Amino acid sequence: MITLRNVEKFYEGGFGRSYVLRRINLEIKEGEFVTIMGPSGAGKSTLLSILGMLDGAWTGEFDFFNHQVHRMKPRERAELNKKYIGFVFQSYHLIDNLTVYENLDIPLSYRNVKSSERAAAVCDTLDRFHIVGKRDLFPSQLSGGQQQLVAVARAVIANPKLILADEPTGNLHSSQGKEIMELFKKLNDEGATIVQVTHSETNAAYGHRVVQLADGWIVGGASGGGVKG
Amino acid sequence: MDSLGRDLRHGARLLWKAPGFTAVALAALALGMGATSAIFSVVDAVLLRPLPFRDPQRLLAIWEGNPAQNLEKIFVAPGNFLEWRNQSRALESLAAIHDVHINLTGGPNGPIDPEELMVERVSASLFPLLGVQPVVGRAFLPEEDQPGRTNCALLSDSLWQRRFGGDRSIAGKAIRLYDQSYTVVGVLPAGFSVLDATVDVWIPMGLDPHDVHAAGLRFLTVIARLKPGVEIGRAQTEMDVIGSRLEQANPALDRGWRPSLFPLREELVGNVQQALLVLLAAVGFLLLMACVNVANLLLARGATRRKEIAIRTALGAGRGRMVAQLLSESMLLALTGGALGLGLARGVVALVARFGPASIPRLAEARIDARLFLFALAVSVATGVLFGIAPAIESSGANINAALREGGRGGTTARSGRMVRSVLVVVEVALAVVVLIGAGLLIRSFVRLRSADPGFQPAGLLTLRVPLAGGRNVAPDRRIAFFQQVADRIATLPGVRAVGAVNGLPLTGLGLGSGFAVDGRPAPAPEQRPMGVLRSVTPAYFRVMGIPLIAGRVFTDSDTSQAPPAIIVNQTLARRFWPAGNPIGGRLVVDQNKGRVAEIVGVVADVKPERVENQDWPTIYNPYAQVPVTTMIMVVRTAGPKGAPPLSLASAVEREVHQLDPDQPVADIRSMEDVVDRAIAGARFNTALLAIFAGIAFLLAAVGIYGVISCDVSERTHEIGIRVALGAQPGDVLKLVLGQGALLAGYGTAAGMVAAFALTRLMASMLYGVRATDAYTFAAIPVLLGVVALAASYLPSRRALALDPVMALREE
Repeated sequence: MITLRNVEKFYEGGFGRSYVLRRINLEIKEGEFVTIMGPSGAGKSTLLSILGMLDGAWTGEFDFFNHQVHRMKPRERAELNKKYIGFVFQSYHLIDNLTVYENLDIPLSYRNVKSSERAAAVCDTLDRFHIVGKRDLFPSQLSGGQQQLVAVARAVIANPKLILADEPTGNLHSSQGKEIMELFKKLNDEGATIVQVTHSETNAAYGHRVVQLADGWIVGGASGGGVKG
Repeated sequence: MDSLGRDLRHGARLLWKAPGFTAVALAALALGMGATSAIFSVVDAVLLRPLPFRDPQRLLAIWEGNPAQNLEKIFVAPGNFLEWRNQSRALESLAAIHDVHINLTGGPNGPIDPEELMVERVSASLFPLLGVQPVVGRAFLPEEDQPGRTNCALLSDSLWQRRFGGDRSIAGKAIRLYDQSYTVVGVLPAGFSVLDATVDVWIPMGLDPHDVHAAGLRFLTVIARLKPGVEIGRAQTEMDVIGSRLEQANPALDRGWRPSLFPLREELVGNVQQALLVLLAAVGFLLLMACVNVANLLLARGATRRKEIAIRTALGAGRGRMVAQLLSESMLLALTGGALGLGLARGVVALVARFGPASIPRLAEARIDARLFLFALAVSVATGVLFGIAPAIESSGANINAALREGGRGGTTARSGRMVRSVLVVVEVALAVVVLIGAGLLIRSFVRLRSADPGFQPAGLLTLRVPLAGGRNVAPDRRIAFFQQVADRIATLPGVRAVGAVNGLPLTGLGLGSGFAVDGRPAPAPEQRPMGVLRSVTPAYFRVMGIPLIAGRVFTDSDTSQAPPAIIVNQTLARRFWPAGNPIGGRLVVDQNKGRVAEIVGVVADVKPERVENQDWPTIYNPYAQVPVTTMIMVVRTAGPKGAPPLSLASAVEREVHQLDPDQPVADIRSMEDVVDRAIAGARFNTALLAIFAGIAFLLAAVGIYGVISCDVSERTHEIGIRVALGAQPGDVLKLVLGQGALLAGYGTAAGMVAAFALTRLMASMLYGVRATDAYTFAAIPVLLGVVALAASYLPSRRALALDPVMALREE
């Protein structure tokens, strides 16, 4: 599904290049649940942004479902993002001035889904995540756990093949965190490929393998051994 | 004091470091305050400042009116004036004025270059009535206002300076007016005028109560002063009684006629009052728009500084301290804007006073009034203070920790701030729509006015006034020959096609009028006798002017004084009195022609005698040879629009007149296009001013929308990042940002159109050929504003498109 070859990201500074990622070679198969770990500043979130097509300023080769991402224009990458990827962020990134229902509707609205189908999908998702009662609340009226639940619901509403989660439980207490991780596990079991960034060993245990990053280098787990059954 | 200085320095530095914000805010303030103060000052000079006379509120103008003939505000018959003066108890004093052109031909030291002067013949009581004292010499004595004793004159300050070098010993010296000697008794103060600012000389009227001919004509303007404590209503009642007594005593003159009293101020500024009030309203709207803009900018700026304020508060700054700092910034901004506005206002007032139309009385007296400027400044400072310190007040009630974490990003508080700013922009757009629709209507009206057919072809025409009064050609038998010779000589000049003459040009005023009746039909009652405009023309006049002949013939050289009396009428007269038949061969009895009965030999097209937008008047043309008046205006058709401009022939034409008579004054040498231009100068002035305001309104509305959308994009950086991460394409982001601008413009336009629908009715009388609810204007302005709104939103939307979602999301 994903193959990175010699991917590098750097910034030009007064004293030469400052590397964020170095010679990243990584393979992720469809259906995998991969955890990226490493100390702060290791390049985890940057790698996730590249995988999510949010960052186009890198060198190397990136194949995604037989698409050569490194040859694509920003617009084409955005199309890939739209078609295949769902994002979950550490700080939820719900839009403050939209209700839960409206937040869930956003990804569908960008995918030219008919409004009747969108309404059905949003209602299904509200039901599936047991948040029907919250549909008209604003994010500020929800607890952190509830907000992240909505964020995950929003990430999966368009049925993405790949879910990218950047420290999804970082702002939650342990019981809320567990609930979210169970949810990811379930989604993975249902066929979604998941790549998460986390500091938590407990969360990492939900995945199939761990990719270790340090100072921009992959120091372990670069290629998978297949999907656990 | 130390902290104030520090705050001011800090404020100046911050303003300097935000040049975009500072420039826009200063421009809005300067435009708002400058335009407001300038127009307030003009309105003050023209409308509000008391007339420069003693107890001006007791001064009246009295006209005669005849409701049965639908005539109002008609000049006063001398006999009636004298009776009013004798009989009225409610009026302290009355004075009559009659303006004439008289040639100045000699000074104290003998003959001087002749010049045609505007002269007012006045009652001696005029100056005591107004409470005006000459600066040199004295006013007229009552005995100088008697028939045969009127050869004394008061000079205007400008004539005194211009022709007599400000000679303080001029009083008692003689000058020559007409061909008679007049003794200068004094000089009036600079700027003194009653009805007409161009008057140079005042001479006593010397009304003769026994002059039967003059007593029957209505040609006087009457000014009066109420006795102290008497209301105008009581004086009107008394004058009605006097009027009915006069009607019984002299029914031939006064049947159906009554005096009507009006405050003098209303008479002097009545025509322009509405235009100035409309301009004032437009300017008030601009000031409001400017304030809304500044408020919006300050709120937006405040929102971006929440983190700074939170840090300062966390470090121990109290609310008072924060308010003081923000206040000093706002004051600095408002005062700098005020200084720029003052400069702008001074420039605008100077331009308006210099180039404004002469038809607006007392315009030249307009000066920036400190009180008015301070008012505008106070409004701006209040706006600055109110919205400038909002962030400090808001921050005191907010969660500092949340603000610190949120940085410049919008949370719940920012959402409410955004709502306030959006509402302000909606208000601003609504105000702009009202100003723009008002300006649009005036511009459409002006275009109609400009393209209206005046009934003749002004292009390529040169006009010049030749007054014979007082000269050697004034004798009736010499007038005809003189004008014939002048016309013949001018016609031989290269570039001249034809030459005619008339005693009153179109678009310069009704001029001489007369009652008339159709000969052979039952004579109407005196009060229902129709009135018509009377003109004397040379045979070539209609051809030179390009006035089409509709029926019959134009005058020829055979229409001499010995020939049967002939007249030509215009279509309005022909239609009214021969609605179905042919007027040619019909006969009119014209009162002014001493009851002469004349045969209609031709019908010509209508020309507008006074204003393009006014109705056509029945007009009777006499052949000059049969009615030779003393002052004629020569009209010279030059080689045409592609040839040299008509004015290039001015000196050659003048030379031809002087070769016939070196002492003959020639005045008002103008192209006919200039005459037409002057006739619509008032409308052009109003239109130009409102068009400038409309431009400013456009600018302010654009700046307002830009400011809000730009700030919105800054605040929504994070949201836009999320949306892009969730799959938003550039088009979606563009739609989001432009949609916001379009929404604000849409709400504002809708509100503005409702307001404009109600308000533009008030300008109905200023419009020509356009309704106050003109669908075209009401449709065009929203489209224009929509384009402006989209353009103003486009720049911030480009910024939104260029956002790096990763960076945007990291702004947490």
